[in-house]
Amino acid sequence: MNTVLSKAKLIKATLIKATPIKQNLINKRWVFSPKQLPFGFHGGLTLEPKKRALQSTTRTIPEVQPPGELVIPLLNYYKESLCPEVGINDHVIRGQLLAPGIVASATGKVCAIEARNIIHPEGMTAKSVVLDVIEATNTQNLNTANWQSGAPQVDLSECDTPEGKIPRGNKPDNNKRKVSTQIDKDAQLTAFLACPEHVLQRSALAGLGGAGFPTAEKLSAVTTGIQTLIINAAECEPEIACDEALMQAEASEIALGINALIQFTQCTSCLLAIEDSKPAAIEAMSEEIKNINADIRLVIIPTRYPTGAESPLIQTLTNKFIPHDEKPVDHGIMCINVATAYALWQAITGKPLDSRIVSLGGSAMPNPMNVRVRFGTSVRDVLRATGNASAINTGRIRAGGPLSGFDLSTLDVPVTAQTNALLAEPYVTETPAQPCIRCSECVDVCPANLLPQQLHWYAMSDDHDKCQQLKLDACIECGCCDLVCPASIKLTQSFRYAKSAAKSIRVQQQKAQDAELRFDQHEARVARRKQEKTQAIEQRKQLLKARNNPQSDQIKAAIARAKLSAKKKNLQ
Amino acid sequence: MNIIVDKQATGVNTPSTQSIMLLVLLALIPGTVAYAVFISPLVIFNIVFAVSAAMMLELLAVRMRGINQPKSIVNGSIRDASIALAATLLALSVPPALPFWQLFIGVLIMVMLGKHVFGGIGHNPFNPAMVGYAALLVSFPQSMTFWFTTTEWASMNIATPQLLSLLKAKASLDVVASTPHIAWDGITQATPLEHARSLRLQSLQQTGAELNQRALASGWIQTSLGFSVGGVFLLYKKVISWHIPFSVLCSFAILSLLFSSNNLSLPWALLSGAMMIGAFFIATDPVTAASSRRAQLVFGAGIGALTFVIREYGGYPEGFAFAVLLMNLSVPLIDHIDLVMVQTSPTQKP
Amino acid sequence: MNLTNASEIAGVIAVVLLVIVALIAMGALLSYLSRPASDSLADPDTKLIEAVNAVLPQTQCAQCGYPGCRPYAEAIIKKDEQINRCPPGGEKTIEELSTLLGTPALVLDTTCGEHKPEQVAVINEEACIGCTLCILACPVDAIVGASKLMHTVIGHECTGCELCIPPCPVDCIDLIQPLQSAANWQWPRPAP
Repeated sequence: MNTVLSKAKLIKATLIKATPIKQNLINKRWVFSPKQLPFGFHGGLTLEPKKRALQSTTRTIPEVQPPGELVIPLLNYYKESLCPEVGINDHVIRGQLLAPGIVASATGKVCAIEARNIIHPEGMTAKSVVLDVIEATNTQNLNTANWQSGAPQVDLSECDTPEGKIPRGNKPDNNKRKVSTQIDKDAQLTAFLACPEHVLQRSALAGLGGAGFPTAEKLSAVTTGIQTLIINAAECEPEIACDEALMQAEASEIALGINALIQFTQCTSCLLAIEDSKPAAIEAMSEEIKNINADIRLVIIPTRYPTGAESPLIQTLTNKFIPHDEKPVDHGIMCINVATAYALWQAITGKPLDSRIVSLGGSAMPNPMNVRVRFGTSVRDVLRATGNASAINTGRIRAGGPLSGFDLSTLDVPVTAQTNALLAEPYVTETPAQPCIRCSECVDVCPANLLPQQLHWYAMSDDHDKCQQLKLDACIECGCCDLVCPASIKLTQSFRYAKSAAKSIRVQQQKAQDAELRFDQHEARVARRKQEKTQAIEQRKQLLKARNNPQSDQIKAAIARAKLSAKKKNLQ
Repeated sequence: MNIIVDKQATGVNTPSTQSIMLLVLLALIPGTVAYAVFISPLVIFNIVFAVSAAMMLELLAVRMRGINQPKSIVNGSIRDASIALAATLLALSVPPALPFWQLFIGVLIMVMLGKHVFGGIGHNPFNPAMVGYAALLVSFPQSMTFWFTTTEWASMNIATPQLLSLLKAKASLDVVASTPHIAWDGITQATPLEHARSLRLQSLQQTGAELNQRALASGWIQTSLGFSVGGVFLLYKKVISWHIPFSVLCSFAILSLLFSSNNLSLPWALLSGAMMIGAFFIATDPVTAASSRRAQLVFGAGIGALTFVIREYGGYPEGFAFAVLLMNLSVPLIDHIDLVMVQTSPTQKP
Repeated sequence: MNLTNASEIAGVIAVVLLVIVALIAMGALLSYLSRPASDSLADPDTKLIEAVNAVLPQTQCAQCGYPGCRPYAEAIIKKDEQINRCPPGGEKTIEELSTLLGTPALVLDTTCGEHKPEQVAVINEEACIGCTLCILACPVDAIVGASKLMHTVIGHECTGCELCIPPCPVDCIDLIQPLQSAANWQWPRPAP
């Protein structure tokens, strides 16, 4: 099991003396980094870490009570529509599986399964389960007083359903496992390690860093051994502070989750990476990881914009460069977000992933804070419940961070595992794009070591072959190039456009190949049937001919037999 | 569509194209002041004339092309001061006594053939100021090589023509009255580089001290120092990066130390002619220079080397303009080689 | 040149001959270096047919007059057939073919049919009588069903070739545009 029994170490892996981060300092070069971290990555920007949401952090994170209606989209990570396992008018319990990888976030009744808007740049719709929530029986819960004092979530044992009272934490077909008040952590961990699929399949775990990759798929892709487990607590984008708040509030449970991951992956070393602008979180976590009996180190990394992305983080911590078409697990590295580790521990103790912390921030948000939101709560309800209803009409609402998110065209869209922040920003007119002056600032800041200037020319002229050669697929869409461009060219958008156009061409070509294959098989089958038919006719003809031919052996034998019997008859 | 990457929300303060160009114009001020004081104040009139002519011609060109362009680009190309910068550089490259009608032809070629015929800003392969300069140099060789400095004239007790009469000559459209070498026959003075070249052609030698003395008296050293101050300011403000100026000056210096046949000492050689203004302001034009930093080092080295070769062995005393144009031609090749290196670099699988 | 004696003349001739020999040698070297990479001139037809077939949309609709896309590709290469006979491919396919073959791009031959955007067949299940005529007609076996049982089109296998529409005796097959979903949504081009 554990090979190294040393206590957790706190390594200050940077020599950053007190270089204070100046306001709006743009650090343009990271080409030679001898003085800072032992390792670094090319490019990146030092942004001011504006974390307005932390202004009102209490020790416990308040929770938004689920409103009357929850809308849960039936989409998986690949945006494919899923088949629901419940029907209309079914009664569902919180934690029940609605589709593979999707659970109900509240107890209620399915009142519809229909297309509803989802958080999407162009406000698309997707088939969703619409739940009438029974849990929160009084709507007066949706006011500010309740959870600024950190009120705990509603005790399920007090819910009334047609079936009677539901004991807390019980799932429909899990009657054997009664959760006692004294949670037997070791027993649950052992059960998880013995049969991880059971927990992973029922818990709807997804990566909570913003992309939402299904954790079950990630953990089950471990083929070779994992040497390094990286817990990603480097929230590098401004305004997003959900991981930081979680670390300050729930450090012990996070540590339990990290421990579970260490034991699951059997890794030789674990690195917890936190940015140096989060001293409270560093303190909280360093206290807790001392209790983990494994080789785990807390690495303080410099605050630099895309350090929280997987590839730059791995480069910063291990100096290994993983090409974009390979997975880190194939190189013995696994990277998990710290909130996902927390969610894994919750799943091990019987609570599937049905809520997440969302940072409410932005310069036009009257009441910035971090709140825990059940999946399916609409953005409008979240804003209203947190006292930010005035932001709805005075500014634009953004899902995600300022660089990785997008503005919302409608607010009646549900929060999902990928919604890490909701920002309110004032209305601004975007500077129109000017022609490129080839200044190469974008090349200096690209963390993936690409040439955004060249990629932009080829992306806009739809030259997909050249884009492929220039490694367009390695672009992590961080937005650094957009920030430094003097001509305000929408570089990231052009890369996204080229990527999706190339993907649709690939899909079409695959479809054409499949159609050709089916056509060839169809033709082959038709020809074979025809041939079989003519063969059968031939055979039958032959048979008939043989039967009626007096010279054939059978007939001769029959005549002989007949003659014999006639002779016999004659003799008698 | 709604805003995707929200620049304002991150609070980042990137300079726009316009502010970059204006900063460069600001950085040209010390050198221009030195030029006006030590060589001739006519340069100010040249600059004013060139900039106004260039802006008007740019307006005309953009309106002609603007029929098929989105309005934001049409408005933007006048608002960013790129053509003003190019016109200023052209005015600083030509001799102060150049007639205005010849300067206008130079500006016309710069705007139309150097920029707009290729598609406007960002699309031209050749440095527009150098296109205009080269066209003038081969079309009006005598006017373009008529240099004088007021200090030198005073030291030789030649009655300096009044500023007003010089201006009148420049402004006149009469070929005879305006062409300086006809109007002031017999008082041409050579720049230090021209002097060095003529010495070489006549196989004469002067001591280093004499050459240095001449160079100092010509006013060029002070002007170049002024431009290098502006260049350092640009480096400090991170408007340009150190790669191009460094490689231009380095390659020129190394070749000069090894192969130079005259006794002009290295610092004076670096400070004469267009070396300083070229290294910091002309060669660093982002549109026509190479794209990545590695390629820029090669680009700058080529310019320095070619300038040395033309100065030392070629037919022109100052070869910076031609060196820049020749390296502009080879930028696609340099970029392509750099691209191939990116694709096969060891940190990324090809 | 002032040629005074025979040795000078001989010298000049020698230089001229040397230059000629050097030029021939250089030309030979360069043509050897720039020879084609592989001996793919062996069977150009097969490769070309594959290339043309890869460009065609594989709808297998027979609107071009040939019983499939590969026969049409073979006809283009072997019988010099016109490249503008494919309505589902439309202008895009004609342009790609003209680039590939070096022939001028023509306008789509409307006697073969009209270019329609991507479409999928859908069977109205209430009207279907289970006659299997459409199943026999589908060139890519995209219709599932059996005699007297429900027939259904497998949406993502259907190429929109319309060959199932004429045989249906109750006219219960419609052609619709495939729905925009979150999976096939594309980022729009940024302006300008």
